[in-house]
Amino acid sequence: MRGGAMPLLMLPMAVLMALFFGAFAVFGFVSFLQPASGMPGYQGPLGLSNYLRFLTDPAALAILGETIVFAIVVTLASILLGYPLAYIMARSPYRVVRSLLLGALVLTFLSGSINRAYGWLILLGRRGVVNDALLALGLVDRPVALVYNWTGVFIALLHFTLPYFALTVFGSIRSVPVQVEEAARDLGAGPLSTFFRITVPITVPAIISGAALVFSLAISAFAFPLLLGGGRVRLISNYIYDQLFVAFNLPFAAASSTIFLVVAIATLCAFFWLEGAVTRRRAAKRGAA
Amino acid sequence: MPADVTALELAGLRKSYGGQAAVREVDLRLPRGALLTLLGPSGCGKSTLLRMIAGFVEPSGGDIRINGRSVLALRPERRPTAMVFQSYALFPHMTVFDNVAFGLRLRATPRVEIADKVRRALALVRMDAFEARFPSELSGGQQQRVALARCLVVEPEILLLDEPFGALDRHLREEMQVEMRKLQRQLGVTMVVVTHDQEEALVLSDYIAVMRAGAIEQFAEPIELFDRPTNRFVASFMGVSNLVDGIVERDGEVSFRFPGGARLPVVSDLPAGPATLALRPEAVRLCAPDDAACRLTGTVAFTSLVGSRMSCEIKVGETVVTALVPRHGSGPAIGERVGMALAAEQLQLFAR
Repeated sequence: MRGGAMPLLMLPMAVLMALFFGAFAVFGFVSFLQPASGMPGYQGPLGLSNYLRFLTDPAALAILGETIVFAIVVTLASILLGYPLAYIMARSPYRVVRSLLLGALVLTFLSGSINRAYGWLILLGRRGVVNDALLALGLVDRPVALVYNWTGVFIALLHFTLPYFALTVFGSIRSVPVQVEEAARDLGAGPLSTFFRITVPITVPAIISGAALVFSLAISAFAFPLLLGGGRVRLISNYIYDQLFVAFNLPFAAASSTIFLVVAIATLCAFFWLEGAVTRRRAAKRGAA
Repeated sequence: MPADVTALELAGLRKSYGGQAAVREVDLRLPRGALLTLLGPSGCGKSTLLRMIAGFVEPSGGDIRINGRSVLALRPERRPTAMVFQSYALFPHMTVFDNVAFGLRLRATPRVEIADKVRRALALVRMDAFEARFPSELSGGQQQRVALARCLVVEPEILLLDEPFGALDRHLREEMQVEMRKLQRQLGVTMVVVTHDQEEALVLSDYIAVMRAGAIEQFAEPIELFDRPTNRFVASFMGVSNLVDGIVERDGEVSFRFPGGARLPVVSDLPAGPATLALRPEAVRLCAPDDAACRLTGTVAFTSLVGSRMSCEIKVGETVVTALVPRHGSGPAIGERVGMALAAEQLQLFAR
C-alpha cells in the first residue's frame, strides 16, 4: 500500500479522531485549572487541587464506591437472569417460546430509556399495578416502596441491561453444537450436569464480554437514577451533572469525570484480564496434564 | 464369542413425525460381540434408529432391549450405550485426557483408576502421546480416535457409531475401517454402525441391515448379502449394476426372457410372470457363441479399460449387459458377436 491511497483514506479518520478525542483532551486539561468565581468558566493556575478535593471528600468517594458496587450487583443480576434466558432462547424445542422471548428482548432493546423509566413509574408506584396486585392478594398491608429508591433504579436498570447480556451470550450458546451436549448426556451426565460442565464453561468468554458490556452501561447510568431515584439515588454521572449544571464548577466536574473514566477503564481491563486468564488457565492445564 | 447371547433386540420399533413414518416396525436381534451395520441412503431412517437406541429420540412404538432388559424408560445418561458422533462432538474446552476422563468422573471413579483407565483407552487408539492437547489442535482422524476412546473407557454394553468415517479422506478412511474392525474383534464389544457406504459395511460388519424408507429390506451376513440380495433395491445398493426387467417363463423348463426375445435358462422358484434379473458384471465370462458353456449371446457395443480388466457393454436384444472380464490382448472388438457363460449361483431373480 506504500505510496497508494492509504494516507488519503486515513485523513477523514484522523480528523474524526482528532475531534472526538480533542474534546476529551480539552476537558482533561480544564480539570487542572481553577473555577472562575461566580460564573461557569475557569482560570489559572494549573494544579491538582480538583483531584485532591475529590479524593479527600468522603461524600464524593462514597458516591463513586456506591456506583461501582451497584454496577457490580446489576452485572451479577444480569448474568443470573440473562444466561438462563439466553439458554432457553437458544435451546427451547418450541419455536413459539424462542420467537416470543427474542421478540420481547429486541423490543426492549429498541425502546427508549425515558419511555421505559416512566413506564416503570406507572407499574411500580404507590398506586401502581404491582402494588395494587400485592394489596389485592393480601400479600402486603401497605403499598411497598418500589420506586424513588435503589430498588426502582435496580429494576429499571436491570431491564435495560438484560438484552445486552442475553443477546451477547445467545449467539455463543447457539454456536455450541447440540451434539456436544448430547455427547455429555450419552456419557452419563444429567441435564444440569451437562449445563454446568459443558455449556457454561464453553461460553465463559461470551459471559465475560457480556458482563463487561453490562458493567459499562450500569456504571454510567444517568437517566434511571435521575427519574426513578427520587433524589435519594445518586450515581457518579448524576454527581458530575450536578457539579456542571448546578454548582457551575467546570474544572471540578472535569476532574470527577477523569477519575470516573480511569476507574471504569481499569475495571474493564480487569474484565479482559479475566477473560485472558480463563484462556491461560486452559493453556496452563495443558502444560501440567 | 458367545454368539447365542443376544445383546441388542429391537421389537416392532417405530418412529413417526406428525404421521410421517421415519422408522417402521423394525425387528432384529444382535448377538453379543457382533458388529451390525445399518446401511442405506440418506433419509432411510438409519440415524433415527441409532438415536432411538441411544435414547435421544423417543420411539412411537415397540421396544429396545439390551441384554434382555427394556431400556425405553431410561434417559440417555442412564443407558448402557455410548455413541461416537459423526462430528465427534469432543468437548472443546477440555484436553484429550479430560475428554476421555469425563464419563469416569461422572461415575465417581477413584482418581488413580481414572488416570490408569484413560491412559489405557488412549493407548488402545494410539493417542497416548496427545493427552495434553485440545481438540482444536488435532486432525480429523485423531479427533475420531479420541471420540472412540472416550466411549470405550466407560465400557458400554453397546457402542454406537454414526457415520464414523464420513469426514475422513479416502486413504485414512480405509485405514481406520480396518483398525476399527481389529479393535472391535480384540475387545469383543458389541457395535452398531450407521453408514451409507456399502464397501465400508462389507469391511466392518458381522451383520448388515440394509434400510430403505424406514424399514429393513434385508438383514444378513455380508457374504450372504453380497452374493444373494433378496430384492432389487438391495442388489442395486450392493453394487449389482446389471438389473434387467424381463419375464420368467415356465414351459417345461424355467427360463428368463429378456426384453427383445433372448432366453436364458435359469434355476428359480419364482412363478411365471414379470421378474428382475440381477447379475454382477464380474460374474459374466465371455466365450465363443458356439461354446457349450454359452448361455446368452449378444453384440459388443462399447469397451473401456478398468485397470487389469475390461468393461464390455454387450447388447442383448433391447437391453445392455455389462461384463467386467479379464483382459486378453486387445479384448473383444466393438460389433463382435460374443457368447456369455453365466454361473447359475451368481444369478438372482426377483419377482416384480
